[in-house]
Amino acid sequence: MLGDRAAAKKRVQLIKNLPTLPGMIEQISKAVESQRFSVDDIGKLISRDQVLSAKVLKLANSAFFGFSRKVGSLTQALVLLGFDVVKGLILTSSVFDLMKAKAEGLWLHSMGVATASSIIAAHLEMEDAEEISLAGLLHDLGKVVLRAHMTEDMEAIGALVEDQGLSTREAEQAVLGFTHAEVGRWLAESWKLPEQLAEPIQYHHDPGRAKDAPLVTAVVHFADIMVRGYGYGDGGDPWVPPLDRAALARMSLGPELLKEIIAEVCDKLVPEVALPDDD
Amino acid sequence: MFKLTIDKLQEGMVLAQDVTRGDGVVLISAGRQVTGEVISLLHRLEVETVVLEGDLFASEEERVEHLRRQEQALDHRFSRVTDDPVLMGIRELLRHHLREGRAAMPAAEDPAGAGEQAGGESC
Repeated sequence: MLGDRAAAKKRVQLIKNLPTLPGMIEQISKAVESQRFSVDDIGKLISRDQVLSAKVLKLANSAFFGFSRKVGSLTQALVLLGFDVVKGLILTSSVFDLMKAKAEGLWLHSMGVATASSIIAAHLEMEDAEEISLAGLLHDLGKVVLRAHMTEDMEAIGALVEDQGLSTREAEQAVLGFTHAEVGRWLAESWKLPEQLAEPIQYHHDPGRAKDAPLVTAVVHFADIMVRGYGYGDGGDPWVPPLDRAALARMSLGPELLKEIIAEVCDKLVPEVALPDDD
Repeated sequence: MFKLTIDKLQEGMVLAQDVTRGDGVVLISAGRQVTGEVISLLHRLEVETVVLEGDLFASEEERVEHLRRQEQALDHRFSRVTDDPVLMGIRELLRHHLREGRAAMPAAEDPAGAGEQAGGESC
């Protein structure tokens, strides 16, 4: 186990390396806060970065948001999703870009949790369904950053999972002195994400500690468990983590509702078959 | 049920889920057989993937063996929470979907299938 000082050193090292937002987002955040700019102005500002806007639009049109019509422009995305969600989508594409092909399994896991979160939110008739999907999409942000910036430690963590059967979280705690949930929290703070997103990121394994967004955190906690149980994507280790009873009670999911939700998750998350090109 | 990219579609396959436009309008209904016409329509509509009926196994033995491996992986994933009746209930619901062929789960113990895609149904 690590001493406090060693853990602190690793933490500082990591925080120094946290991905920053594209500079343009900083300007836009200020513009939004100052309330002097219209949604149209802001959409145009983001649209100047064509690669980024294409990625954001692709995510905005993902099945888990379930819009009844295609989101065709950034202005439209801002109106439909709100600035916080669009900002979250920009973060998502910036961060997952760090990983490219290497993070395919984690990306699938994240998409799966976003989809399952949106299915649960719809069944519970929750408001802000888009933010809940986004919270699911971002819940393992800390893992992405760890994989990108702590390569050697990640090998040690992987070995502990593989050889000793530790869960990813236990292995992270043993090697780093902190977990991906805390890394996600630091990132959420440095990016000024709202608590509706920050708490599910920090507490998706420990939903009882959420204060500002306990229901969203409970939904993401349960979505993570379902997607792991279903075996979609790669969350770092194969095991379904313990289910928090208070979180389950908070969602008041009865057996019938649970059945419907699972059927829908199975329908929406059909894995893609990779056939060779010359078949 | 399995998902395939449009370029790998073959005539005779059957759509298991509706193909919908971004605005939710159904363009091609579930149950439709894939023909050359359907394939070119999907290309024009810029649809990337579709969900199809059945599976791609060469034989019944292969299908049974695959199902056995998937159930094993399912049990392994839930092996640390066997004292939780709710999670055990969820496991059995997933097993049911798996057996019905409703859930084409990737095999967790199959590193070859854990490559770029999540699919474990390849043959």
